[in-house]
Formats: sequence, C-alpha cells, structure tokens
Amino acid sequence: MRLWLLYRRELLIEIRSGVESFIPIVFFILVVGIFSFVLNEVVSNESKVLVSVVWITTLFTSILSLDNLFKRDHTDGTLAVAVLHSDAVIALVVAKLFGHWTLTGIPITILGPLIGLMSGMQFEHAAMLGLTLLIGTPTITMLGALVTALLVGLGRGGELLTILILPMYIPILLFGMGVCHLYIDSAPYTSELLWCLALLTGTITAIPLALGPVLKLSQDS
Amino acid sequence: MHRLASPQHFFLDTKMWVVWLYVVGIIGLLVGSIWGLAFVPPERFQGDSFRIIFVHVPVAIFAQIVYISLAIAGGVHLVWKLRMADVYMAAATPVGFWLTALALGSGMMWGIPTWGTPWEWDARIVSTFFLLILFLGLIVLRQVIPNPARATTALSILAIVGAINIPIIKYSVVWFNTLHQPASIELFGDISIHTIYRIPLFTNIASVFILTAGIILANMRYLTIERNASKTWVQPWIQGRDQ
Repeated sequence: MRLWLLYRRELLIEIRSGVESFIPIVFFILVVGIFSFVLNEVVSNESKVLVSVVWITTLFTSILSLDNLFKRDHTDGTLAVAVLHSDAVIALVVAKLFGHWTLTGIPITILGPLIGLMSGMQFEHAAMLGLTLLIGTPTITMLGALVTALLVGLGRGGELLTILILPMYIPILLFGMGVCHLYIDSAPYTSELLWCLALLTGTITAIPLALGPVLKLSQDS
Repeated sequence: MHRLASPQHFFLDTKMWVVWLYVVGIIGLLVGSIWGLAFVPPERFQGDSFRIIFVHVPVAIFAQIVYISLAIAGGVHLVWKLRMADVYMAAATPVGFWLTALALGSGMMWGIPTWGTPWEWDARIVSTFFLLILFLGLIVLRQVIPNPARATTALSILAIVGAINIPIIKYSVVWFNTLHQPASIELFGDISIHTIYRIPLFTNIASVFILTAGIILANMRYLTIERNASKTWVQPWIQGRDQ
C-alpha cells in the first residue's frame, strides 16, 4: 500500500512538473530520427543498423533522465528523512526505480519497435527489438540508478555520470543488441537472451538493496 | 597476516618487501625480455613482429587481474571495513590504469604489422578500452567526493559493479566474432605456444606480476604515511625525510 502511494507520488511529481518530464522521450525520438535521417539508405535496407541506433539512443536517454532521479528529493530533504529508516529508504527507492522505468523505459519499449515498423522493419524483428528493450530498460534503470546514487549531492555529478555509467551498460548493450542481430540473421539467440535475463534478475534483486546504504552515506557528508 | 591490517605494522614490516619485489621483478623482466627479443627464433607466420607478445600478454593479463583485485578489495571494505582495503584500492587503481593503457598501446603496435591496422572496433579491443574508462572513472570519483568514508564506499561499489565487464573482456574472443585471436594460454588446458617461446613468456608474466605487486606495495606504503601523518609513529619517518 505504502509502496503504491510512493509510486503514485513519483509519477504525479514527474507529470505535474510539466513538459520537463517528457524531455528524455522527446530526446529519444529526436536522436533516433536524426540517425535514421542521416543514415537513410542504410537504415531502410538494413534493420540491424536501426536496432543498434535504438539501443544506443536508449543508453543516452537514460543518462539524460537519470541525472534528475534523486536530485529533487535530495534538495527538498525527502531523502534525508527516508534514509533514517532502512525500510523507508527501500520503499522509496523501489518506487523511484519503477517510476523512472514507467516514464522512460516503457515509452522507449513501445516507441523503439514502432519507429522500426515505420522505417520498414519486419514485424517479427520489431517485436524482438521490443522484447529485448523490455528486458534491457529495467536493467539500465537499475545500473544507472546505482551510479547516480553514488554522486547524489556532488556539484559536478552530471558530467561525471557519463563516463561512470557507460562502461556499466556495455554487457546489456552487447547482449540485448546481440539477440536482435542474431534473430535478424536467423541464428540461434537463446544463450544471449538468457544472459539478458540473468543481468535483469541480478540487478533487480541486488541494486534496490544496495541503494539504501549508498543513499544514507550521501546524506552524511 | 592480522598484523599487516594495521597501518603501523604494515608500514614497518614491508620496507624490505618492496626492495626485493623490485629487484626480482626488474631482473626477471630483463631476462625474459632479452631472451624473448634476442634469443628465440622468429615465428613461422609473423616473423619478428610476434615478439611484442612478451610485453602484450603479461600487461593485458594483469590489467584484468588488478581490476578483479580492486573489486575484491571493494568487497572486503564493504564487509569488514578494513582500512588497508581502501589503501589498496587507492594504490592499485593508477597501476591498473597504466597496465590497461600499455596493453592497448602494445596491442596497437602489434596490430600494424599483423592486421594492417592499429585499431579495429572489435569486442576485445573495445571492452579493454572500456576497462581503461572504468579505471579512469575510479580515479576521478575519488577526486570528486570530498568525504573519504563516502568515497571509499562509492569506489567499492563502482569497482564491484564494473566487474561485470571482466567476463565480457575475457570471453569476448569466444562469444563474438573478433579480429583478436582466442587465448593461447589456458590456466587449465592446452597451451598453443611452443616450449621455446613459453619459457621467456612465462618469465615475463611472473616478472610483471612481481613488479606490479612491488609498485602497488610502494604506493600503499606512501599512502599509509600520507594518511597517518598526524600519528606519533609516523613522525620519525617524516622528519627523516625532511632532513
């Protein structure tokens, strides 16, 4: 119940803050659009290129959106109160992670394959892109949130986020994109898909628990 | 071993270790390199250009091992709060950075005669490049976070999470279609290198290990002195240096 209220709070704050909350998604559409425009010939003949473009843009979009993940709660003191109790901080963190995924992960999971279909990708290939994004975007949210939490309250966090986060995304990028490429080539892809799922289960289990102590530490200094 | 977990005993006990590690490491490296460069016959397909293996393989192996050791030290810090674990991380990060840079640099030199290109965007090279960025991130993060306790925990977590890249680097030559060749040395398996090349190569691998340990240990001793500068047992050492 409390979790649901916290989740609702996250969504309401984001949506009521106006256009700002949709900027990451607009950014996603823009970048995929620019890529498809510039690589027009290649993209329409080769769906592998578009799959890669969508995946890379997903990473960039997550960096853009993660910068604000804990910022508001840190500024207004919500975080300082939440870390006083380890149950409270876990509930807040889980609500925040799901809120973030609802507002960036789900739209990307829907928009990615949709853009693919519009560019003439086969339906099965677009569906596979959607499936890998469905597995990949929560993983990306988890990994990104952990690195963002390390930098809460530091002045120069934003720029640093890029070089700290991108290396962490390499495994999920390689496997997620790899599944799509193998599927397009009609090659066996089960092991790569299982690796994606392993990364998802691993991060989704461990990271909400790790975030509590990390956020607590950020409030000490 | 418990004695070494205390900064004071660590500092007092390890002075001669550094000297020995340096002496043995440098002699071994000289022997292995001269042997490899001057005394073994050229390779059948690559001619003389293969000789960079005696530099490339040892530094590449220890670039990854130093990163794994950082993640382990991070775990030790998170579980047992050992002060020396943090000292180890601070001392080993720059060493790992330079080993990775050397692995990339020597690989590029090797790539020119054999592949015809110093750089190719294949999985092994790119994942090693990201290892370099991981080390850089660890170095920068320590400088950015002012509170030492928070910095240590942040670094431990980053090191542990970043360790998911190590299997990617190790198995990139198996899982993906790479220009880089698969491993020639397996810990529990066949070694596809002829015996005459094996001896100088293993000499160099052992020497790079010993030298890396020596450099990290010297760094750790320096950091121990720096962090405990206000303690009484440090005073004679600081004054001795100033005179």
